[in-house]
Amino acid sequence: MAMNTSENTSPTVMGGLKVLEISSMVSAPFCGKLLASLGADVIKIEPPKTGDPSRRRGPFPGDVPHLERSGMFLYLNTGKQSITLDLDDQQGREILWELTGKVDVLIHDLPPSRASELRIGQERLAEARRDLIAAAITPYGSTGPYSEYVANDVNIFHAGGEGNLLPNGLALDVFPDRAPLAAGSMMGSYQGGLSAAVGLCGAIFAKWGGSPGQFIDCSTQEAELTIGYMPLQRLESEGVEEDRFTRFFRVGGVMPAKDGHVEVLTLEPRQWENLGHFLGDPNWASPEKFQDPTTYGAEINRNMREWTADKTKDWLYHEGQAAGVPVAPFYTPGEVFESPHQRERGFFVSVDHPEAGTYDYAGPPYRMSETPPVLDRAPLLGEHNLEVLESLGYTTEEIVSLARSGVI
Amino acid sequence: MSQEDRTAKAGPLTGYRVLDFGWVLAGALPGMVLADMGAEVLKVETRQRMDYMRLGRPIIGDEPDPEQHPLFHNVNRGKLSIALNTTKPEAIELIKGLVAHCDVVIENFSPGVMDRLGIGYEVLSGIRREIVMASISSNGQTGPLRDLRAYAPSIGALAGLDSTMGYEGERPLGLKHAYADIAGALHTVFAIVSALHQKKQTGRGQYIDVSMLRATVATMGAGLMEYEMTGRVMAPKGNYDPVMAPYGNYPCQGDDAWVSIAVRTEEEWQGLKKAMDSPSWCEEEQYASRYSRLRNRRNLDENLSTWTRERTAGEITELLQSQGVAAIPVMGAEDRLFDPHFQERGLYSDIDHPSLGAEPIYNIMWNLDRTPPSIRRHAPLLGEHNQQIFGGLLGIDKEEISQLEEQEVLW
Repeated sequence: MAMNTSENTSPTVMGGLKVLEISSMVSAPFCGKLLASLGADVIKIEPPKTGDPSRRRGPFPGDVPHLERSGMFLYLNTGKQSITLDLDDQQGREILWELTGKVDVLIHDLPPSRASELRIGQERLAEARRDLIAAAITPYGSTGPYSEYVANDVNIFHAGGEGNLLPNGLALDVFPDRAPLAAGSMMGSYQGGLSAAVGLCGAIFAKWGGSPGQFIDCSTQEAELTIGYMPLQRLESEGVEEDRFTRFFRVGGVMPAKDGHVEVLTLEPRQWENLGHFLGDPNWASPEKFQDPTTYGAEINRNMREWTADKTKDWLYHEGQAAGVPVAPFYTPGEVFESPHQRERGFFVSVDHPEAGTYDYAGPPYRMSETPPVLDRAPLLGEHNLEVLESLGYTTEEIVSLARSGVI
Repeated sequence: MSQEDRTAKAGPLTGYRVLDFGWVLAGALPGMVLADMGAEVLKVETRQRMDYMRLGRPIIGDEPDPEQHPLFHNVNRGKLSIALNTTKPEAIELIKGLVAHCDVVIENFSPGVMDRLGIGYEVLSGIRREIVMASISSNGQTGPLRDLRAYAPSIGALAGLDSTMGYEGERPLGLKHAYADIAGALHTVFAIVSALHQKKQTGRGQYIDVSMLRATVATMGAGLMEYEMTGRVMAPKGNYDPVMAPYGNYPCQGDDAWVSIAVRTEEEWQGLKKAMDSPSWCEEEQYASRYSRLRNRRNLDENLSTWTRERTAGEITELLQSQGVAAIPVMGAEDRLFDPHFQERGLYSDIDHPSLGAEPIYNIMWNLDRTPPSIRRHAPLLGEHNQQIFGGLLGIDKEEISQLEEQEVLW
């Protein structure tokens, strides 16, 4: 089952759907990327000259910064078009308004006040753009006391999901006074974009069925809450507020290996037994001790760390799995990239880009038998200015003058 | 919004029917979302091997009770339940009968199980060409890792996500959370709803193969690119950001209380200074520019901590946000439940359940103003809708249903 490329003509689910995106960094761009992967035409609006801040974040090939070569931008904006527009300029806003009349979906990441300032606030759209679906993907949602709050990834991650519980268990035991820890990959922001894409998909489906447009209010913080169901449930049902110190103290966790680390996760008594056998049935890993992790967990783990330290992670992984113990290696991004399994399943797709060169990109997490997802390169800054403005009826002369005056 | 209001409106998927074999978390979530969007979701389960989420400590009394688990109630709300013992051939025939009335099938058994039961995609699409079937698994339905034994937290390790999480320059600590389940489930809904549209256009369904590992790797875009573009492997870097400083969680007044702060621009740095009433350390040469603040971030963290320690997370948030600086308390479960912002936005609905009475069920995490997602009913009791479904859809009479129950087919 091959991935669609631009040369491939398999049908796409969202082919013909027109999407306008005003976005920066991760959340809203990820949402737009997911729509583009199903064939939607996504036009991304970027500030003239500088573009999306993710264009300046890198990583860059050979560590040489370049607006067209930032790995983060290239990955998060696959399959889109780019136009540059100064939204603080009156003519820029006029063009934005014209564009909202030509598309099916608007995705933005603006707080309500800024959206109104750009004259694309919810009320105006509901009145004058009845068929438009507008999704606002903001840190704390478009209503409520925090709707105007600014946030970056660390804020979202620790205000929403399980950020307050990390690290926990034995890891916390080692250094109790350290600050709660974030995931290293902007996971919280990705989760916001993914969650919004699902809500948006419902609205698009409704529109395909004949409904008018509507407004979608997506809070990235609330998207994190899906991750943090469990502590909320424990609080509700048992009256227990979990914190980093009280969270389920378990046997296992992160263990050192000769060439990295592995994760040992045993949740069922049967697996504790298997783990005991795997370790060679030492006294410190007896069934009685496994049953009382609060008393013996630290001792077991200390011994286990010694036991695993001189073995390779692949040995621990494969032998552990064979012995019925869920062991998983901590793969680095490099190892994931080289993984034979992912290679065999065609997860990575080679994408050529005129400025950045050819790289393998992680593809969509699912396969579809009839309408395979597509993966095309990210756009150059303002690459589609001419095309898009011409479609609005601007003449070449007008477009040149818009460029000279810095509007585009 | 009252419960009646929320249930009054049709959702985008009203009129669609889902046969949902999904269980535990990753398998149950897609059906939950589809039900909130208006679909009729038939949860197929069995006493023979109960959904793990129904097991565990009861809230009331000491006897195990499959109807007392709030997390199960959350991720299965809005669904109907039929009890079917798939070890019985009669049950397989009943499933085939139901598929003829359904639009979507969801499952997250180990790869190969549906085929072995005789209800794989080939068979089901033979019964109903329009069927959209989604399989969710750790690593996809094919390839060397398809049979791997892995809980979601192990997938975080395999995906490379866990290796990036830890304090700077130290060992990785891992996320230890079922994020793979959630990411996999959300991508599944996205693909299913899209496929339903395609079905409407062409009359053909399709097969969707979701990998939770890939769903997790998809959040690692920049980390993978870093390896490809520079040969460097992303390592734990604590809460540090490559371009922002100060950035991270800072200790506050109170027990294990923290506030997260992130300063992106020079303007925001000036805002932070103003919010703090310009303590003298701010003027030190080492903090004179964005670049020097980034270079001296450890010192900066120490200085900033002396200021944050004297105040509560709430005070700091208000002071900083009023200057346009990103700050928010690091919230625990209780903070999230009782936070005025969440209260105003309606984090949950109180839904009556026959076993536990009114309990909070969390609303879906986005809102659509015209076709809002809504919690349409409480999570079903095991087999609660046997009569309704087998009688109503397949025309099996009451007596025969009772017989099938006795024979442990509907079980």
